[in-house]
Amino acid sequence: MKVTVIAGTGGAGKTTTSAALALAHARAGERVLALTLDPARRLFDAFERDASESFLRWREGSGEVHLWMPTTEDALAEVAHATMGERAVPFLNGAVAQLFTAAPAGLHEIVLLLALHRRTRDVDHIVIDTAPSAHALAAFDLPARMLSLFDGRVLGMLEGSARGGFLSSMAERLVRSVLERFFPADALQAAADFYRALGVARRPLQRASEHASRLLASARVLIVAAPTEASVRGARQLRRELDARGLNPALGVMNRVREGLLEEQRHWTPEALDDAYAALTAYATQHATLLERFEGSFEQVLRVPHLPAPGRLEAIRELLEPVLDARHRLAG
Amino acid sequence: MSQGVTFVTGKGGVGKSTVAAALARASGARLAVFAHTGPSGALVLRPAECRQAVAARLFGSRRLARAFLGSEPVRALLDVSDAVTALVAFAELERAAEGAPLVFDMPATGHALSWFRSLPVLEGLAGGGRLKAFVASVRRWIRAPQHRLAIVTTAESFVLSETRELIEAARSLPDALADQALIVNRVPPARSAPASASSFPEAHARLNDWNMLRTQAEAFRDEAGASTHLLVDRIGARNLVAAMAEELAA
Repeated sequence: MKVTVIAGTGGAGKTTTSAALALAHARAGERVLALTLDPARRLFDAFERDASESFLRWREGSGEVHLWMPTTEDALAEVAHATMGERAVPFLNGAVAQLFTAAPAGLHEIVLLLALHRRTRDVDHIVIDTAPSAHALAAFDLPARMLSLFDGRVLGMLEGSARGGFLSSMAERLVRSVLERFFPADALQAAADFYRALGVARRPLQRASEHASRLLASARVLIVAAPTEASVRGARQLRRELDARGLNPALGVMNRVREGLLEEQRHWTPEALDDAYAALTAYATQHATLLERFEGSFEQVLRVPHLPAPGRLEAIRELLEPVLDARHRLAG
Repeated sequence: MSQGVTFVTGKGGVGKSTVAAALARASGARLAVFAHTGPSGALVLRPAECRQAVAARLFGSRRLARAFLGSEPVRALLDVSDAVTALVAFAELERAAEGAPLVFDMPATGHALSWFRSLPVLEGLAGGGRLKAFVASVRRWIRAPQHRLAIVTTAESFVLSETRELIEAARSLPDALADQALIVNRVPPARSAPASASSFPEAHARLNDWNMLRTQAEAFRDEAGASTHLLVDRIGARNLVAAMAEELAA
């Protein structure tokens, strides 16, 4: 199973690049699952498809694209029904489960990674689009957090039961006394019910977390940037932080490159361009500086030209195809 | 008495942080960020410290707060959801705003909306007692008339369509902010095409793009109303924040 995670600053073109990459791999014969961890949920738009359903599947060349973009609510229901059987319905109607649908950030990513387990059986490649910048890094840490959530100590704490061995130490007794003094009994009860329901599903949820953890650990990361100061700075920082986690993003994609501008600039004269000369020259100079800075940070950079919206997706796919093999070699 | 806070959000990549810094400078407010580090001079609300402070206020004891947050199962629970993060950030922001008006640089669209939506859910979950009263008081503070939401956007069509959705969603929040301001960032100055367009096709195309962006920005201002401010693109400017602040103050 191949996994590619697309990261970068906001507005750089991550989602479009994710869609184009999924198409390119599908045309090469793979069955590709495309999803986004961004609660802003823009992946259907990028594929130029209607977002009225949470799952779409179609043949693309000799491969397939499985496009999956559920709401937090749908993904949670999927996880609950798969792991809890008939207890799923009361679980989903509980007070704590409502938190998932009302305030999806953070929880959205977790529920998606848990549900991912069931979506990966009949695909060869998973393309994961992420939320801007630091959120991509946070996604890599999520499985560990999920595992500590499902390991039973949380329920022990909420129930205050000696069964889990929880009340064995002074510190634990203190935590329990804080909970009882400051949180109303019904809130503790709601939380304990939620965790008891999770407890039924603890093993499958742990397995799903471990599965997500393995997938993310094996992922190739592709960093997307646009030629703006903030985007190049963000991309270079992301590269350093991913390197520190051993994730080595070898390929950078620079979107909206104006090659012609760089070439043409040499012939510009103030007379020919009137008052626009200064602004255009500043723009072209900045463009050149940023490309150079970005390309200094990656072993390989794909320059994607500035393209008009109609046909952009297909054009990026075509550009990505020749570098797919090279990228696999780089990633070992 | 709490001073006004300008909450700044928008689609990723539109220049929220720069605009937030400029807004603070222009209005004599202090820039606040909820992160481990921030620009010099900004009020940096560090998540871990804020969590300690809020727990200490809630429990009435620093020692108790430390012991509580030191527990692994407690941390596992709190780390999972943005809801607690939102409560902690807003509660500390309220306290910081007692001293001076603030401009708060928030996360992008999806996460920012979820921060605001978390509070009513948390209040419902809290049942009763001290925690519920605490969440309710933070919610009352957010709804106070001195605050406003500043939505930053650029004039590209795909950004504007997400911005329109954000404007609507923000207005229908249970804790909608009293006032909404819109800032269109990176608006190119109006320019005509160069005389020798045929010999410089790239320059010509770029100028056309700029003209179109300018037109789209102006159309958006007409549609969105008087509280829309257009900020000129300053390509390669040395001190972007200062230049922007001057423009905003005018």
